[in-house]
Amino acid sequence: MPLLEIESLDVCYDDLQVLWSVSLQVGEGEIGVLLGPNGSGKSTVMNAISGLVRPRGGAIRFRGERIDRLPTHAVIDRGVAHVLERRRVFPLMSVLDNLLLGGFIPRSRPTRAEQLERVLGLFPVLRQRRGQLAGTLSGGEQQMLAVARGLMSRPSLLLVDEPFLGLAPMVARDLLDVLVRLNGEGMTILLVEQNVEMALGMAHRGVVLESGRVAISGSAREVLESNELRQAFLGVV
Amino acid sequence: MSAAAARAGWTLVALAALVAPVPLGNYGLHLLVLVCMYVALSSSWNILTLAGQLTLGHAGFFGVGAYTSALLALRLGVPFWAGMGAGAVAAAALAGVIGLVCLRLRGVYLAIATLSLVEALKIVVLNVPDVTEGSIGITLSPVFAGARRPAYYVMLAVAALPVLATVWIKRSKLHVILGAIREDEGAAQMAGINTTAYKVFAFALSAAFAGLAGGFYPHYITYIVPDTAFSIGLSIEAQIMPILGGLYTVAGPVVGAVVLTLAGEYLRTRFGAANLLVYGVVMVLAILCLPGGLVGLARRWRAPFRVRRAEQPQEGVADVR
Repeated sequence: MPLLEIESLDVCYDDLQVLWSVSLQVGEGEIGVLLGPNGSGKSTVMNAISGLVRPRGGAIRFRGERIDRLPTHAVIDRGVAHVLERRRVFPLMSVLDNLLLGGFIPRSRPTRAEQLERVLGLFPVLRQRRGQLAGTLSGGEQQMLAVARGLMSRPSLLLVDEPFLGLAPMVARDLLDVLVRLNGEGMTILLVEQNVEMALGMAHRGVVLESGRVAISGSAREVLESNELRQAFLGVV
Repeated sequence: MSAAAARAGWTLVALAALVAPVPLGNYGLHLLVLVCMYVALSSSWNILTLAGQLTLGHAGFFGVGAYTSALLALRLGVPFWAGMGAGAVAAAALAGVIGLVCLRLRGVYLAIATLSLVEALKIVVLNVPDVTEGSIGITLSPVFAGARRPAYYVMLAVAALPVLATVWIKRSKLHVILGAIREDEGAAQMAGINTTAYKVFAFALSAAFAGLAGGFYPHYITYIVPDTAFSIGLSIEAQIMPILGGLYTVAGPVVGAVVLTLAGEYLRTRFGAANLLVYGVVMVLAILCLPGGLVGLARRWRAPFRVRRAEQPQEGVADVR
């Protein structure tokens, strides 16, 4: 049984349908990557998983359980963490407060101190800056904080939406290493990314969306080598 | 501000509030009662802003409290203190219902709903005179046989409650939770916070204190009509006072209410009909020149070179545990 299973998902914003029968699966311990041009519906898929938007049709299962009717906090409590696009840290709170809020849900409270040590170990720069206001961090540090905050709830599935957006290549590399390392420790990850080669290089599975429909779906290698990929991104055959 | 200095300051304020009525005559006492009533409204309105939510109809909850309490006294002879409790509960229940509908959404919906609520309630109360006495209003016998000193102490307690509730919120983990909702609601949801539940809770708490103040008001003034209970002016003052004093703080709404109530009274006697003009000019200047309110001004003046928010995270750290 895949950890995350999405079956013919339809999502509409009012009368405008943006996802058409999207299906995808991410197995336990895998890295899945959602690719596609701007406006193809990648973030909408992520938001539907975490309950920020309600699907019009289809089903989302996490460990076999339907989660598409659950409120966001209940989805998070089942072990999903969602690192939103554009970081979205709490700018007027300290780095430490941001992290502690990530461990807010009841399930993660007993092990919060331990978890805090773990994420500060993954991102040493956050330890140095823990008393500082999150809004004063650099873009890369804020992105690390956003990922670290997501990890505080001890998720078994980590959704990461365009984490490398606007980062210096070195910083992006560091963050990528952390994600790969987390995956090596058993974390399942679903990543939204625009950089096709970088994303497919680290992923097990890829799904390419085009105008709200699945254009290609398969192993990372299959997706990388397919002709449709070029077509979806560049509009050339 | 250091904790010790803050505690000393609040102790002084509390002592001053307790002994203030001793030398005063009826007019002075009445003014103090009004100050306390405005502190209650201003401080309770501020509670919901901690969660980043804007309401424009705080008078609606004041009016619901006032009418609940006045009608219970008129029809069933319920004493004022029980009426106040019922008023607070009624206001909180109304806020709960409106909150469950409007706080699922983000943005201006709550502001619009609460703005129209006040007008809607006024029209309802005016149009069922069999129940509410309509535009004739309700006359009650004066509480404490018209003695102002005990009435002042009741209103002082009513004013202290929302202030103490704000202190409690600031010290509990609610401070961080509501702050997270205020800063970025989507991110707060992602932290697993049931943001709707916390917003509704803050809204109901805020309304309850307004209902409590409203519950005492008709017993003190002895007369209530829909126009005074559900007045837009009252809603606006409940918003302007915390803004002038300093939003999101404990002291701000108190300072704003004291200053504006007393200043309004002074301007009325000094400038006669022109008082609203002066009041308006002062308000505009204050909002333009004092982004952090009077409390923010005091902080800046005391520590001109310190980054103003530098202390806040430290408070927060202690709070989460």
